[in-house]
Amino acid sequence: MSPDVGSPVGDLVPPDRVSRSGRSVVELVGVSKVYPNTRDAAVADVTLTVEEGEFFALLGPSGSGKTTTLRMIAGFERPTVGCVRLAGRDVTKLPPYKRDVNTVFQNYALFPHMRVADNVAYPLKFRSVGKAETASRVSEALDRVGMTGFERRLPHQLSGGQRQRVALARALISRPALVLLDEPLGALDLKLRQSMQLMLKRLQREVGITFVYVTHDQGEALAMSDRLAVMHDGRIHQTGAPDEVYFRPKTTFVASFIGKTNLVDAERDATGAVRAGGLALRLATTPAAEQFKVSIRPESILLAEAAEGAANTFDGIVRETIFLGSERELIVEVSGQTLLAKAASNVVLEAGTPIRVGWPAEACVVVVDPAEQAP
Amino acid sequence: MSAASEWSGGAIEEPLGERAKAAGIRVGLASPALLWVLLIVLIPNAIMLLYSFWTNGLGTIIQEFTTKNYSQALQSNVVRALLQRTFLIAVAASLIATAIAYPLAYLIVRRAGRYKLPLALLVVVPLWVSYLMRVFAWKIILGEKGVLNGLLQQAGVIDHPIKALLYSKVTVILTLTYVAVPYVFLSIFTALERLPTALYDAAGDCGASEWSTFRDIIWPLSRPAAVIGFAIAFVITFGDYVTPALVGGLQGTMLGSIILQEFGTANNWPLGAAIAMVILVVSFVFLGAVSLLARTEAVID
Repeated sequence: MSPDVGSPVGDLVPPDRVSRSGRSVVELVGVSKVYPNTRDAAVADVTLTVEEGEFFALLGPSGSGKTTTLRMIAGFERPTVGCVRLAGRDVTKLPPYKRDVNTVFQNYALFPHMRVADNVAYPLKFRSVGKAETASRVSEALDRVGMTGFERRLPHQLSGGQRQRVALARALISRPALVLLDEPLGALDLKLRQSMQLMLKRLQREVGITFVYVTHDQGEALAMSDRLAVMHDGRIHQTGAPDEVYFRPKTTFVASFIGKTNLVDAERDATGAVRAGGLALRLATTPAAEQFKVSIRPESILLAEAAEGAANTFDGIVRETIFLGSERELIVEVSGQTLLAKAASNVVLEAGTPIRVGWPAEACVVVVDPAEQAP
Repeated sequence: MSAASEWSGGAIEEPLGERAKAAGIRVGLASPALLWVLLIVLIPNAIMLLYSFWTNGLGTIIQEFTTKNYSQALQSNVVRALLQRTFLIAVAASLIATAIAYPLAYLIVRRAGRYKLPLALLVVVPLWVSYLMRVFAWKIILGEKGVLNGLLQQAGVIDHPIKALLYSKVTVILTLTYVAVPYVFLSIFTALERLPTALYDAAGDCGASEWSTFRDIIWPLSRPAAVIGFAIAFVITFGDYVTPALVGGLQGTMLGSIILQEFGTANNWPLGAAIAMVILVVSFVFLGAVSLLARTEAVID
């Protein structure tokens, strides 16, 4: 994200700047999944398109339907309604083994009785690939994930990170059009997860295969993906580039799930003036709704002299400061509203200090709650 | 440190004293089980072994070492014929039971959904009924005035009841198979239950059809359980004497019946003990050979 606190929104790149070939690898059209004996749909009316070469993340908390969505793309689950297309072909009713898709499973799902080389070679068994080519492709795939020399090991003789690499090699070896990854780093510790993130991203760029990546970790999704879809309660709340989703959240859920934000209840009167409690807010555009919430990212809030001249400026009082090492978080009270702001870590502000705060009109993002909007 | 313990990652070098202490704790924890094995398995068999080297002298046991019982047993045409027949009946019944229990367990684990446990219970429920009752039930089904003959007569398929249904080798194999199925099923069912469903998904994902998934992944991983199930069935059926006594007739007599006679009406314990020892040795050799089929490198975690 832009570290320039002065004009974070001004840097916003147009959402369509991601270079795409325009050919869709995955298309979900109105897909829903209702499991037997459950009331609520696990996935409700999901429509999305993933384009060739994209690193696409499905982001959401547990139970949001992201894994079910992935399993419907792979063919492990059949949608209750809707249509799944891979490379333009309707595959809704095809079993997994007839789809040009490979999956990296959350718990790796390596075959415990097969050595690393046999695990990786297994998909080639069903693709009439000769012995010599199989051998060269296995060593190439293991080389790509940095597992050369482990060919003769059994899965239980590998660490979690190593198993994940083998699973990845197995998913890549048949050169599918699409690789699905289901929380692939979920079981790894933080350090390993970060190095695996880099490896995955580099690998995806090298092989040019489309990745659909399920994660509940918003940092991971923002850092790795070209585009992402944020899911909650089986629905897609927003799809877009990471910076677009971060700076222009559409729903209260997206605003609060991704990063930290200030969400304030606001209302518009007949003249178009917007008030949030005691604050008169200036927005870039006049919202259509009368009752809504406004999301203001902490890093959009300018302090002291920097705040002067911003569209929204108020006098506030520092209530608390939290030292985070690389930065400092401030809790500032402004006319009865509590706002989270950020300052450099060398700025020392005592609680109780009066301070000017301000933010540009574009920093106020109107968000809605789709649950309240639904009829 | 060996290469193997390096891979497992969790192996920490312990000082020798600590290791001996840990071994002591392990033996201590196992001691009730060890005591049980000693009292119920080892001592009775040792007594049996001792008896097999003594002789019978008009109702008393002459405690002098001799191999006479063994030469008598092994030279007897009756014992040799019965040993062969008993072995074949036990192998046949165990094989058929495994062939029935495996697909049954596979279908219940893969296809039964939420009826999985109730169905598995139905397979095992005969074990709650006394062994004698279960065998006797077949007598009621297959007897001259039994259920099957009655049905066939009523349906007009036959005029007179078929006597050959009961008291034959086939009847014994049928009944022993029925007795063995729940045990084999339990062994296979628990093994298949333990396999993560992600393995089926992963195989399908690699391009394997359900049959290929079974052949390449599921069978190699569950074969040890099928072999163990087969071995349990063999142990149960090889030494059985109740089933042949109830439904076997002369055709279906097994070696267990002879041992029973020697310990009972014939009152020749040393000879009975010697024949029992022969059964024991044959079982050990056979199961040793069978256990080679149960070897696997896979560790499922």
